Amino acid sequence: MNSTTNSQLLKGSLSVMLLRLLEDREKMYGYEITQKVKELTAGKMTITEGALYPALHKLEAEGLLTTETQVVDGRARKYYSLTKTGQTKAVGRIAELNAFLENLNLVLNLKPSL
Amino acid sequence: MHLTHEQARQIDSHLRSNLTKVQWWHQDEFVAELTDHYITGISERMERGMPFEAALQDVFAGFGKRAGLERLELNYRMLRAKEDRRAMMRLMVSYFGFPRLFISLPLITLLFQVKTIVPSFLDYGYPLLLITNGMGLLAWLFKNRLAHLGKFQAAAQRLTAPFRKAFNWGTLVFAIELFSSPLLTGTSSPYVATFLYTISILFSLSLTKLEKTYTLRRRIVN
Repeated sequence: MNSTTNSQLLKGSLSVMLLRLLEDREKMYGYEITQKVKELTAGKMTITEGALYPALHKLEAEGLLTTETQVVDGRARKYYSLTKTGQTKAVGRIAELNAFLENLNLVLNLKPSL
Repeated sequence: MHLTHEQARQIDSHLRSNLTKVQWWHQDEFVAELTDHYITGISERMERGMPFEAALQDVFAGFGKRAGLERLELNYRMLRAKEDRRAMMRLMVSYFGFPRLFISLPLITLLFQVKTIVPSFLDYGYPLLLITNGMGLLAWLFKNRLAHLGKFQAAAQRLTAPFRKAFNWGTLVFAIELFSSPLLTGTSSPYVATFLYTISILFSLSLTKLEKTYTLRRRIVN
């Protein structure tokens, strides 16, 4: 997939992806998230750092994510995890995106009229 | 793969040269997050055989180079500033509830009493302005003209903070007295002055408290 197209398609769904990943794992740090997405999509989808961190910071400011700092290999590492509100919102937003994708599929798979 | 001390230093200077030079409260926390991302990303790329410099540039490109880093910093600063404003407001409001009311109530009473006895400090406006500006001038001299102070440089540097504080408070007192003067507010002058002084002192107390919290957090990050 073209990287520009990829990033444009990602824009609206990035925060939901982050919520879903953090719903699955107790806590994750920025670099780990980029690698997890790459691994899950076999390298077909990449999240750039320039898109990831603003999204994480925004979710944190909205109160959906909380952070904790741990010392790993002698340096500070910031871990993100879902707050109680984040857990509730994640379920709703994932369902919303799923419903949207189903509808999008209906339109994209439109059979040509006879 | 563990990076060498020199490579870690290169990452640090790379980040510092590509971020704004402005000092802000959460800067260390922000830089620490980026540093960790850079070190992890570069180590992984080097394990795959990429040279250090190319790996550094690759991670840099992922952030959208200099413009991307600056945008990220600005965005984070704005988000945190909003949070700080909310925290400040919560702290200030807490002075009107238990147990901090035991600080604010005597403070308000004392300020009102002082304002009733001394209606306006503007009667002492000339010496007040002179002292305030003197403090400001000394603070500026000690901060920016240290070279002229020879062996007194260290002592002068230590003196800068209280002088600047005295200048700020002196200016504030002057402004409050001006805006709450009987000429502008009539008979409600002592009430307006007490209100403005209370807000200023509570703001200062809250700011110090918040700053202390962040200094503690910064120590953990570093």
